[in-house]
Amino acid sequence: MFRRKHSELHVDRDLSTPAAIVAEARGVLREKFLGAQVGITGANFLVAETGSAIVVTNEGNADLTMTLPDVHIVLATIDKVVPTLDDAFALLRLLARSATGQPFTAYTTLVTGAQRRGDADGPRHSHIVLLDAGRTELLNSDMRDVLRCIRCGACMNHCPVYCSIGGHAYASVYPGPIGAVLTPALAVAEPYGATHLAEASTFCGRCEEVCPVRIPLVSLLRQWREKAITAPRAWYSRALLRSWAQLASRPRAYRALASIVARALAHVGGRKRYLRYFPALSPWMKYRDLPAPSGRTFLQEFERRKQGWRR
Amino acid sequence: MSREAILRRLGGVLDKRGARAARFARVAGRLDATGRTKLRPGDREGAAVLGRFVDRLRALEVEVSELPGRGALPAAISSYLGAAGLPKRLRRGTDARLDALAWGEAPTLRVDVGAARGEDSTGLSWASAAVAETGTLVVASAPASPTTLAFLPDTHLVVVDAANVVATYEEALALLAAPPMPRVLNFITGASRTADIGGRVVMGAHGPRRLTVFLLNEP
Repeated sequence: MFRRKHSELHVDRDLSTPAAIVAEARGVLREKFLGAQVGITGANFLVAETGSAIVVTNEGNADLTMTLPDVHIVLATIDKVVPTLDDAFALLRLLARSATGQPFTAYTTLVTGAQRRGDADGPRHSHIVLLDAGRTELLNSDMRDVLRCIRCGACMNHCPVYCSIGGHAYASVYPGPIGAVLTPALAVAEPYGATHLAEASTFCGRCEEVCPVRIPLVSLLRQWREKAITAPRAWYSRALLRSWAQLASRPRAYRALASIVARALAHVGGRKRYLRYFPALSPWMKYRDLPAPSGRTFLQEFERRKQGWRR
Repeated sequence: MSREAILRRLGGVLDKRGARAARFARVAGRLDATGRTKLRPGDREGAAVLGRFVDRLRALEVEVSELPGRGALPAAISSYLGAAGLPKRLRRGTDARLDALAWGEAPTLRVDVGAARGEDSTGLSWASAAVAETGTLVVASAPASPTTLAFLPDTHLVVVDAANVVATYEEALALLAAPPMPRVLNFITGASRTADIGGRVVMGAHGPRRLTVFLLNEP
């Protein structure tokens, strides 16, 4: 991607180490920082008593963004506001330790307004844009505990599901257990569109155990599962579930069908034993191959092996 | 308009959960300095604070140079840059304490004054305070102390008065001059870094690769 996007640089340059990649990103982005007219950052916290925004990075990218351009705009939602500096520092202590295990993040910046009289640098204009973005709705719901989240990511780093499937699978800026709770809660237009995220959990509870602000993630995930069950469903979804129920309650028919399907899929899988295409799974199959079944169902295989043990 | 609408809706939701008067009293209590929580994991006193501070800096791979007084700064900076094989150029603010130093005693060092530029290799700041808890330097912006000095150059040098090293962030905030807040208050804990590529820490992501502290043990 670097070679494609940075086509102005030498084609055969060395990009084999993280240090080389970081150095190139630094060089390319430094020009952009120096040339930008408007810098937009978020805020980790907003402090009511001083009117300050607190922005935290290990790289210093936010500091270049808010110092070099003529205009600095802070975009943050209302749940970022804390009453006092003391509250902010209590949370900052938790943030770095929970996020990366560092005692404190490299650059913790309290910014209060635009360039002042006599200042040699800093933006000439500064704005804070406060967004509601569904937060009041959330406060009014039984999910309000998630508003405590400080976005440290500890729940993700300890989640067995997140660690296997990665962040992109959540199709949201908020991945992991907190994403599974927050994404459907913030999707006001389509409240049941993302409830399936709550299914991607073993309820092992590690997320809740490591959460520094004690969000009851497991019970919130369970709430989404309950909501999803009682949610209105499309006719085809209802029909599919009904026929599944019919089949699952008739063991003989189920076994017969499973045996036919297993054999058919094994045949399609061929010698490589991989399926390249599967009806209704095409978005998933775009990046992955599905391992084909062996040709026998679990029960058939179990019977076969049992005979082996007797011998 | 939309601000009032948002706040009215928010107030309405909060009202459902508790009486307005009680809520306001709670906020007032919180803003009152005497009613605040004291979260002090780093509490230490006297020489123990300084020892802890230097230990934390070394753990962050920050080089620490202890000097008997500010008069030794020009020579110390010059020889530091020379020993590290860095260009003998320095950018500093118009700080009166720095103006008063005899920079002429380090004739090979070129010193520029003002906000940092893209091509500057080394920036020099004077910290308002420092926190032993995590080896954090507190640099306040001011006309004499431009913020860019801490971010644009590859090497950031910071002068710290040993007397201004305190145990916790809260004490560091108390050390600063009375309100208003400085435009920018940088809490700096080690040099710029990233672990975004392959989870391996690389120094100098967007800010300085190197952070060095000159600790002044002035009487």
